Amino acid sequence: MNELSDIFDKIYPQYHPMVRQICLGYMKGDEEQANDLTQEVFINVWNALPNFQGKSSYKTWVYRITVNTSLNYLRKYKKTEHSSLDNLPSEEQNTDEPGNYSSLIAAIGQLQEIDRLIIMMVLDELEYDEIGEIMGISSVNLRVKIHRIKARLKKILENERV
Amino acid sequence: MKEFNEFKDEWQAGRQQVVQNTSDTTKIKELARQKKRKSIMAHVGTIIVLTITLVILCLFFYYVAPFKTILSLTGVALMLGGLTLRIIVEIFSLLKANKLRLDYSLKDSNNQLISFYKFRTKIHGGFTLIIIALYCIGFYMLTPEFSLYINLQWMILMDSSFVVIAVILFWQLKKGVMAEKQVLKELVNLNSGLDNE
Repeated sequence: MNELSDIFDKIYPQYHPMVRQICLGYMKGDEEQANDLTQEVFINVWNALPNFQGKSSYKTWVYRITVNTSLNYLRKYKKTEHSSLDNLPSEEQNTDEPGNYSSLIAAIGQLQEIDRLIIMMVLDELEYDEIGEIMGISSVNLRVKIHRIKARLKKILENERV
Repeated sequence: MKEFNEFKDEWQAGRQQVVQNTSDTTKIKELARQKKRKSIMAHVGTIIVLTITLVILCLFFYYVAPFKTILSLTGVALMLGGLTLRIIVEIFSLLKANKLRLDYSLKDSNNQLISFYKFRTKIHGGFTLIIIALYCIGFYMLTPEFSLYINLQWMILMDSSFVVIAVILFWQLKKGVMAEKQVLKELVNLNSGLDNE
């Protein structure tokens, strides 16, 4: 148990910014919800740690948990307080971030749930193979998806930044 | 028109702004333990309540109302058998829930959830309806022998209140099944979204 605890103590500070940023993008820039989701991800990381077999890097493994937790969180969230994520604030309400980053987060928030997660991994410069492994889809399918999501994101940002 | 690389730069710059959470990891570990306990207790709680009901019924039928006729004994068997089956299924569900993994790929994790929710809708749907039906039939099979010891008014009250309980149970069950079917639908849609290019 102590060994797992030590591993977690290393994983947490190393991947916290990465997970927090993904959660922020996924929750359309809502800080409070992003904090809750980030905490939920790390709770699941700790509970899953005894199952880590070293077949992938910690980064990919944490990403997998982040993706699965995010989608589960939204499902749970829809059932309780909110009827839809559309109720979450848009970029105008998040004035604490510099303009470009804030509008990027807001644009990501306008994408479909899966597309949001995929594009954030692309922005994070993950290899396509890694993204395919995390999502469980073929690289051909992934490439087509990424091409489509990039075009959609560009279009949203173009409309907003003109 | 910005190139995608510029978005990447904005994203990377945004990473620097993420406030590093310096809170003690002990808090996360404690919350994780609490969550695990809560999740197990949610399942174990149902099993405990059902088991206590079974034990009380067994004691009642053994010490308070030891039925003698074949019809009544069949009724007792149906009631206790149905409850026992329900407990076994709940234990099976608990074991299945404990096997759910969040560190699989999204597709694999989703397939696991689909299989789990299909199982849940089955046991909360048709299977539980059969068990409730067996329980009700069993209960009414006790009525003839019961009526030898209890006056008619009490019998009518007991039998009719049982109908009310059955209707409430059925309504609760339907609500739960509908919610689980909705989750199942979302999971299937998610899988389709992953498969579609």
